[in-house]
Amino acid sequence: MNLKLDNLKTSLAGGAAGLTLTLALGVAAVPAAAADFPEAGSTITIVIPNSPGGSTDTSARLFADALSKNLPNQPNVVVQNRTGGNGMIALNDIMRADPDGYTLGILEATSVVLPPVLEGRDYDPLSLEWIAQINNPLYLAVASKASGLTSVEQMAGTGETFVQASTGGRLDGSTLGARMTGMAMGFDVNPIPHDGASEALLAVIRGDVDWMQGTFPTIYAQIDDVVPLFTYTSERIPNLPDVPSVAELGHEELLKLNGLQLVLGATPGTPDDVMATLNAAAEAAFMDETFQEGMVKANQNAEWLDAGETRELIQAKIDLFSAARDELLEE
Amino acid sequence: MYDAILPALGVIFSWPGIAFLIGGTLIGMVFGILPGLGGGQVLALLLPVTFALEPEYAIIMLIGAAGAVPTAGSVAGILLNTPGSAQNVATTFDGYPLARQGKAGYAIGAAATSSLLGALVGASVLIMILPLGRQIVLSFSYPEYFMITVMGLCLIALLGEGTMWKGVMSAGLGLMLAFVGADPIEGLVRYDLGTDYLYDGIKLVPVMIGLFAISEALSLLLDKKSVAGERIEFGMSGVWRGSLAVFRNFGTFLRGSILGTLIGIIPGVGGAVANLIAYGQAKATAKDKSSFGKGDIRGVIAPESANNAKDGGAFVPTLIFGIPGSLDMAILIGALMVFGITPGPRLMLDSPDIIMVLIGTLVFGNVLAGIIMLGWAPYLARVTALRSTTVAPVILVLGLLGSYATYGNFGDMIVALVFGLVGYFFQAYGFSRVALIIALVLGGLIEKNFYQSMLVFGIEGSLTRPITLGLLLATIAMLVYPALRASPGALLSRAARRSRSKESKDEG
Repeated sequence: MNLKLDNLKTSLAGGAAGLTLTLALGVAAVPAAAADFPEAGSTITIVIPNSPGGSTDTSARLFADALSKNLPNQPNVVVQNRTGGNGMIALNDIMRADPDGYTLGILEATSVVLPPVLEGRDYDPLSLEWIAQINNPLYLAVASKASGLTSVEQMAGTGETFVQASTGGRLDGSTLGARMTGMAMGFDVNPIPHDGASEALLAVIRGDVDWMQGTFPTIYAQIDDVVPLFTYTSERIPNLPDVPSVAELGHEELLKLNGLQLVLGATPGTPDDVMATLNAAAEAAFMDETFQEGMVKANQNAEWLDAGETRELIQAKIDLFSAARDELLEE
Repeated sequence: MYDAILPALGVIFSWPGIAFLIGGTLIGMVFGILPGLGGGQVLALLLPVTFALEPEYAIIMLIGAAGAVPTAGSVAGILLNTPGSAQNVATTFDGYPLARQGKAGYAIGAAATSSLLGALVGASVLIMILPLGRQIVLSFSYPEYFMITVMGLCLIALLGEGTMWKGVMSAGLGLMLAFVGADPIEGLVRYDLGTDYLYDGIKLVPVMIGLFAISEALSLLLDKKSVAGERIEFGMSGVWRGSLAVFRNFGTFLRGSILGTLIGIIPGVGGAVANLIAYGQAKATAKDKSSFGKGDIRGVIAPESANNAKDGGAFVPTLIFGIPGSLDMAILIGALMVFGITPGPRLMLDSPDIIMVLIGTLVFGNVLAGIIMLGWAPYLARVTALRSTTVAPVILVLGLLGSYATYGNFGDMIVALVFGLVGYFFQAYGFSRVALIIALVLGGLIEKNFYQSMLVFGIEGSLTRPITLGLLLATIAMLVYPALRASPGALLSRAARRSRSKESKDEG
């Protein structure tokens, strides 16, 4: 590892962030006490690892507006898109910010867990101050019409290999989820990577691959051109009453391994009183009507987990992926 | 679907639609002119603003802005050799030589007119083929994408900047750079030197800004001359001549527009390729190629018609499958989703009004941008008369700012500076910056599409697909045609002439 360069980058980034913050606050950068958190006219930045336009960005922007309304003194809450490095650039920004509650992150839970578990990255996903889960888009598996598959029974227990349109390499979070599903259900997965879920879906519609997994908003508009296999839910969903849920198939544990749970967190070491303010405001923001309506309109699935439950989700992901580590890294 | 056209025009031209159209177009033009800033940035900036608007007006403002970017992007490319975005790279090949000859107004006139008309062709084709769009999009799979990118790479041979070996070496360097970062299949990181920065590979925008803008600023500073030297045409007459040139070379324009539209339809190839392929075919099909690269107006018309026409084509996969062909389209889809409009096959049945507002804005936003640019051209052309000590620092600052602004990453500025030096030495020693940039654009796509083709279809399965085979034959024809047309004797004497002219250049 090139620690020197990393440190230099951090200090530059930290310096720049500190400067902006000082300018924005118009005061010296003294650690804020909860009594004056957040200060009137201050700016809270929500860092996200995604580019503008996707479902994470949409959810984060809707949530940012609601959070601003529900925090004391109504600070500005802005979303900053820090793409790249497989999410590491955004995560570093959050990990290395001043622990004052002015830098938050909305991240995809699996992408935070995998680097330390599989690549040996040196950080603890549980060290972030987790606040909540704000979105858990419905997630489902579909087959291509050309594959001849009509239900998951034709795959489960066969030990055969099915070509999957994936949205990343073999060790990408979403691909790993699919591979774990294959392991649990008894079939092999051969992932073909694509740039994003809609390109993967196109490959399924063309019939170039056997199956894929993705979020309901992406797939539903094209649902007539694919064969739904099962949903990652504990019960069947109203839009697809004939499609079994993964729990019904006897694999409830797969719920924690698949899907794009969006979790909100703050820099490690943020003081408890600041965290208390943030936790309360986040819950109020989540219940905010505008946020809820916006999420429904954008086909998202606002699903609340509080701070403790979010930590449990992260812990469960760490345990499940660690247990399967050797098998996943094989080949 | 077509009966929604008139109500859509009503929305665009009544108050406040027209205000959003004008506002969006002007903002888009500003972002287009600034190097490094493009459709992605202007849409990201406008996105939160549009949440407060009615969906129709939000679409008018967003499309108006995104559509104006490639039109305005040609300005900096022509005047300062600083392409506003990857979509305008090919415009600099002949646009900047024209500016150096004092004909900036002529080049901008041609660019604005071909942009404007190109958008019209793109939108017309879009309206006509939208009902068939599904079949067209579905007939292209991994092997077809692969062959299109290979075809793009072979264009380097046709561009013929510098000697062949230096061209091959430049392209080879570009390919090597394209393979830095996480590989598309395993996700294993290559040549990252242990930094997170290189995880995503070498980014196109800072390299482009370095190679073209910063290296140009360096050579302007060292030459201590204005861009155009002494003979500069001012006034509208040059601009009108440029407009007229589009009609004089209507075949070049039409081929560029249609190629642009077709490339736009294919998701995942996009605008960065459309302008290069259009330029390549204009040069390949021209009877007299000698003036290309030295200020041939056809070299401006072809890429500029293609990059505006491709927006029309890019709506086909975006609207029918919700597949973004570019960052612009991804953000647009995000905006539509916020309004509860999900792109997909049902959109055409459920909300044809939205589709027509979208297409109408694309057309009229481009017309507006084209007219504004024609009006400004005489004033813009004066930039080329400024002293290099005034212009060069401005290019440097704008270039560095642009490279930083795209992703907000400090490392991008370092990359831009490094490639500024690379570009300067490439120019000084006759290596091809164009070959490097084409290889960098296409390298990653070629790798990904090759893997996908081999994993799913294998060699035989890939080559027996009719479109792939057709594209392969077209590529071979493109490469051998110039050699077949010239007799061996003519080839030899041309080579001799080239080496003589090179010697005299070296002496000079």
